Amino acid sequence: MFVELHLGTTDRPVINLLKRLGYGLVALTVGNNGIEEIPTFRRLVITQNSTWKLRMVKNFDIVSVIPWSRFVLNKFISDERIDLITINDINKNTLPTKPQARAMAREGKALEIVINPIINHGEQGLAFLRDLINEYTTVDELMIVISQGINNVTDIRNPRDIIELIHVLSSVNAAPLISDNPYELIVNAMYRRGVCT
Amino acid sequence: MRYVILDVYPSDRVDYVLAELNNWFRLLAGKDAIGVELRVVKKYEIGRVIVGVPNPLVKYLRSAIVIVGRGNDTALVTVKVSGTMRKALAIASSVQYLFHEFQNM
Repeated sequence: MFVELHLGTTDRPVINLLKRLGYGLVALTVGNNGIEEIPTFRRLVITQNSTWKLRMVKNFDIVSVIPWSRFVLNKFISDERIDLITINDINKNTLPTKPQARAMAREGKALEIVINPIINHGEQGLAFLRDLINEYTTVDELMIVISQGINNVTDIRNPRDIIELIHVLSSVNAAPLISDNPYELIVNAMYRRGVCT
Repeated sequence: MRYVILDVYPSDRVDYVLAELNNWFRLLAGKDAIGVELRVVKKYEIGRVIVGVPNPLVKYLRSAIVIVGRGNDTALVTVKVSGTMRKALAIASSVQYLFHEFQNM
């Protein structure tokens, strides 16, 4: 079963297509839904201009942050409300350093790579993706999660093809990054929020 | 040889997709793709196509599928990879087009 943590639409045909491709869980980054076809979680994405949304954490199942500098990342790594650090651009200046990545692993934060905006940069994006995966898979205990970043039908790809792409780029077995790891992340987040006590 | 069944949306972009797929396939496979041609086995009007590729190069074709169509509002999804042409043709003619719900929108 595959898990998509970055779904930006509630269109029924898109959800049905994801289900046919083997997705069993999704996390929505937009509004609320009433989607019945697939178990859905609500996800809050914190960006530079939306840090005030951290007050609304209790209404969401997963909270992620897109870091805009390494300095703010230090603050978020030790913030108990955050589950995920998201990378969705090819800006090397906002990537966690190795010590920060080790701290993330210690604090139980996962690293999410949203591949669609990265691959949209063509060859440069592929090289960035390769470096990213090669660098962070060497950090012990750091949970890496890969999301597609789906906003409409043209963003959808078969997750088995994504596994092949990651394998071709970096020789890493990406199957857990797109299925087991995000599943585990959701379970951990639910326990942390006290849903499953 | 492996046979990859692909669904393309919108259905009139099949030729564009095949040309792009060939470019990215060659870029990813490098020297392994020398002397190798992607073989288009059959095109269906609904937007489905079967592409034949040598066994060791399937991974490059599947990787190229992830990259193709971006920036041009084209969706491309692998339906199935089959080991024989007969099975691929049977699957392609029996499995519902994955984007059927989008066609009437």
